[in-house]
Amino acid sequence: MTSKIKFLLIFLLFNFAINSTAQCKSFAEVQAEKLLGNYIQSGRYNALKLDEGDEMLMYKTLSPGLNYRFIVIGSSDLPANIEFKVLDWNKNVLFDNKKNNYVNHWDFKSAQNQRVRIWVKVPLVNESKRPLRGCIAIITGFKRSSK
Amino acid sequence: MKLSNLSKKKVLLFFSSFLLTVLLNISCNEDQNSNEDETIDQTQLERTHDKVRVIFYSLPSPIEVSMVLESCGAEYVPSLLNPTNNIDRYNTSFSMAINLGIYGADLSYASINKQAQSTLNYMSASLKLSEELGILEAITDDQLKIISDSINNHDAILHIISETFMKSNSYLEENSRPEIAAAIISGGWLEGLYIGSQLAIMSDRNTDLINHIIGQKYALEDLLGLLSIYNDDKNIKQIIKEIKSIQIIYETLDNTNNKVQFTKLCEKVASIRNKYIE
Repeated sequence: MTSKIKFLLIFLLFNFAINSTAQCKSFAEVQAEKLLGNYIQSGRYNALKLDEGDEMLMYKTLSPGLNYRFIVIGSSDLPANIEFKVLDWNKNVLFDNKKNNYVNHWDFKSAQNQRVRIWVKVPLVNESKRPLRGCIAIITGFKRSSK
Repeated sequence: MKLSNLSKKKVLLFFSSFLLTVLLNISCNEDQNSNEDETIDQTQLERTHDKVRVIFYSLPSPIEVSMVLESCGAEYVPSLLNPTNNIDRYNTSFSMAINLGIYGADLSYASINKQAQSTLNYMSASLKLSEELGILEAITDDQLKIISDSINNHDAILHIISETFMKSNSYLEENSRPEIAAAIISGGWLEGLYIGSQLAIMSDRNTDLINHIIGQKYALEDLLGLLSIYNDDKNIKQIIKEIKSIQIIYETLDNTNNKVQFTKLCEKVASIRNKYIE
């Protein structure tokens, strides 16, 4: 009996882990379709569950000759004002959504080959209670730039 | 000595928590600082952002690379592509995965250059390898119908290829085969670099193309960061070794005028890529 309970618990935990990632990737897929417009999605579905107060980071290589769209979006169970910054490799801030009314996307045309960091933070709003937890997705898209 | 019931519960709870943590980390590509270079960077980041839980590496997709080649004025040279009749040579999961990435890049290059027949041929080869790797579930019947119905609708095809690439990747990660996804990504990146570098040589040293190839050193770092997560796999370990041999040449290549080193880079990329398509 005990071994059956163990198996069940491990099975449930295994499924929980897989499902929560899959759930966040589905969330990213839906949001990408809504928010990318005529940009083509780049890379992978970068999404996972985060608690309030958590941060995540993505490295992205940009090329000249393309326009890029960076989208950062959280599910409805997280606080509304998800923060994100785009930094160049020398940590110069190229964009800070906190200074732009917490918009969820930024369009950018890089003049050169460069590697940027997209830093994301879920604000801490519920400190005294159980932390809020939900999906965060970083979506990048690209399109030909008009010359 | 037997454990008390309470201790058993604790052990079970610990084991389950450990398993959950491991699973979450694998599926989310959390960086465990196994790459030496990234360790330094992560330490620097932690000084300012101490709650960074996850690092994602987002490499340029094959479509993105092909679009950059197009914006550099590169021509379509079909002889650069891996012939689709090579497909029967690939009979291990690893060779299928890396060549699925290579065919994916060839498909993107053909599609960006509006080569309808080649697009269909490379789509067909990619689907065959996807099927053999057991990831065809990631591609829906609807998508297949849209592809065959809209082969001349260039923008629709680009979106479908991009989406298919992403879905295959997610499918593999969610089905505990992330090292296969990493091999596909590596193949795609390598083929993009191979096509770009060969075009740079053929086009009498097109400066934009050369700059693009030099700029790929950043993507190479991201690829190494991604691969280092799976370096327990012997095939991934081998790719890391080969990518690092390209990185060594990149370190000596600081400007477009270094013709000797640039040629050396192109030759190294070609020799690694040609080994994988054999």
